[in-house]
Amino acid sequence: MLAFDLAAAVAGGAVLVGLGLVRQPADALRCLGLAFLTGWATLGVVLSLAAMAGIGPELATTLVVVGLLVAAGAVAGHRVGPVAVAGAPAAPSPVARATALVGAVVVVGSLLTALLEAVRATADASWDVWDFWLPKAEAIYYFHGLDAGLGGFTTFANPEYPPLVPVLDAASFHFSGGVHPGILPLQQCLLLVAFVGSLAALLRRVPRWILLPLLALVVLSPQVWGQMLSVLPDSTLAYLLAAGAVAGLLWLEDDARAWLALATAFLAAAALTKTEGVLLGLLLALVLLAAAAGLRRRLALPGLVLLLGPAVTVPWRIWLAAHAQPVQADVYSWGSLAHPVFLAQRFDRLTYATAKMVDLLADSGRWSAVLPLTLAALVVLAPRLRVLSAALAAWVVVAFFGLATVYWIGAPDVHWYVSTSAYRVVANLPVVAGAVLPLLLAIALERERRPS
Amino acid sequence: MPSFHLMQRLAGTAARPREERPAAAAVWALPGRSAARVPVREAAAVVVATALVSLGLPIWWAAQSWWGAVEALTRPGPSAAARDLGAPLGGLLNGALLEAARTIPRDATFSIRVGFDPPIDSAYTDAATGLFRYWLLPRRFTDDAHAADWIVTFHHPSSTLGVAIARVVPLGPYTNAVEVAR
Repeated sequence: MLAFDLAAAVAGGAVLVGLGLVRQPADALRCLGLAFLTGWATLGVVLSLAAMAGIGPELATTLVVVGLLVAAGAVAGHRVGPVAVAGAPAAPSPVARATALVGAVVVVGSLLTALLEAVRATADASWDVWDFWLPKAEAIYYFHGLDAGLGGFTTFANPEYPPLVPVLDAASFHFSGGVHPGILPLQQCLLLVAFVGSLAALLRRVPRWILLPLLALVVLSPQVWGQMLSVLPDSTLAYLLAAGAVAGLLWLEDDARAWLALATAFLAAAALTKTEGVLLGLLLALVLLAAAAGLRRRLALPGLVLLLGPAVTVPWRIWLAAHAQPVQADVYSWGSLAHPVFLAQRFDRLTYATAKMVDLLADSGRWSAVLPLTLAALVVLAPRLRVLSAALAAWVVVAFFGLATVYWIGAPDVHWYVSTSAYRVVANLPVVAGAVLPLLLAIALERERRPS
Repeated sequence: MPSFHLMQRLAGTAARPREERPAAAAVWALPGRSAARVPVREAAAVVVATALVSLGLPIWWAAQSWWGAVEALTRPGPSAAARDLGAPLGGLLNGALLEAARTIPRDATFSIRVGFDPPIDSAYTDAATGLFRYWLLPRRFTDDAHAADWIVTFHHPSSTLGVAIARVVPLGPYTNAVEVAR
């Protein structure tokens, strides 16, 4: 598994070199977490598309893709100039330095604890894990791709779910020489470490006394902490969306195409990770585009690239249709939104789901103070960062109602539906908000310092 | 080429985004309003302080996890098979699953029949098929028991399968692997 992770880090490092984000060895070390998450996302997208084309994620396939990414990164690196990333100003006082130190100790200590737990963890025994996520990965591994035959990928529950996570698990099985679900919690934990490292690398401009305590707040939120070893892809989706949101906001602020490319890659991986990744990623792309139009109109046209992220799900739908599989979930249809009577008859489902989702988000036993702090900060920052604050607030609201709409139009008993999934799907909102909050504070601080 | 605009921003010579420009700022600088703006540094300090205070309990939990994980390192770990299987359904079927993987050849096809003979909580019968399908890969599963090389029975009598039986291998309590005669 470590060999696979090394390959992912090399691939991601090459992407960062190609984008001009890594130039010096020191950059590579500082961006190691970002390189791993970027490589994991990029490999996932490419290997998933290859699997749809009939090429399984064998060892050779993965190594060829890594080689191609390294070559492409080297070529692009010579053509693309370095992206200048402004560092944060030095801590203004001993109290600020002490705060940064406390935050760093908590973040590093938490991640070390997580790794220590992961080393001894056994396979995730959650129902959905053994019912379809892991069997799909095994089917890809044993039958050399998205085999649609007897016992193949499509014979397990929810065949329409996107394939990125099973494909990457299968690729890692090829590196580890067999199916070893027992090491996947460690892999999941490494993704959490990479996510935190990614935010630290992306948010260099954020003063450490702000960044580190707020990162600790996200990592130690009971929900994130409790799910850190879960092989269910919900945490992974939240990491990808959060990294995509941060990269997207950096693009809006800095107008550097590298951030735009990175955001698109994360949104593409999110779309191929879970069904709601398409919805939440598309909404994020649209909100970023609207913000781009509000800030600098010339950003809007290149910003359309963001739509390629969620659009990467189109080949998957084509593959499903070509293999006589349902292209959409069979428990709900977005077409239902065009039937007012149907919607009115089940309006109680929407009110029930939204109430439960609000309860979950407001539960300090799940999210500490992440969302209240973000919302309070948005109110304070709104006069200075109208567009960026509005963009984050708008995404949280439309994402919330987008998820609630699925419960509204869904067929399963709403009580069962909400109780088994809402706590996982709403997790995307506080993780994204918690990741973006330090950046908004830093941008507002920069503008306050800058004379008008 | 590095982003020209970014270089300008760093040098402080770039055109500022619309929301930063005085005309836009003026919309918010209504009489008596601009003075009411909370300084960002102070607002950030309050956010960070609140975050640190709310971290108290999670830090305590994480510390307990740390000690638990360190103590666990001193104890012998689970076997590789037990680690890979985990404890689905509280481990009730683990023995049968491991025995089934030893009994049924990897290139065989198999089916599963679940019943209530003797009665058992439906949580187990609901899960049994999925668990065996998962653990027995790469053996290919088929719904058609007559087309399978092997049939796993869970609380289901082998005599009512409707196939010619070559042999019955016990896997665990009320759980058997039935080889179909060809």
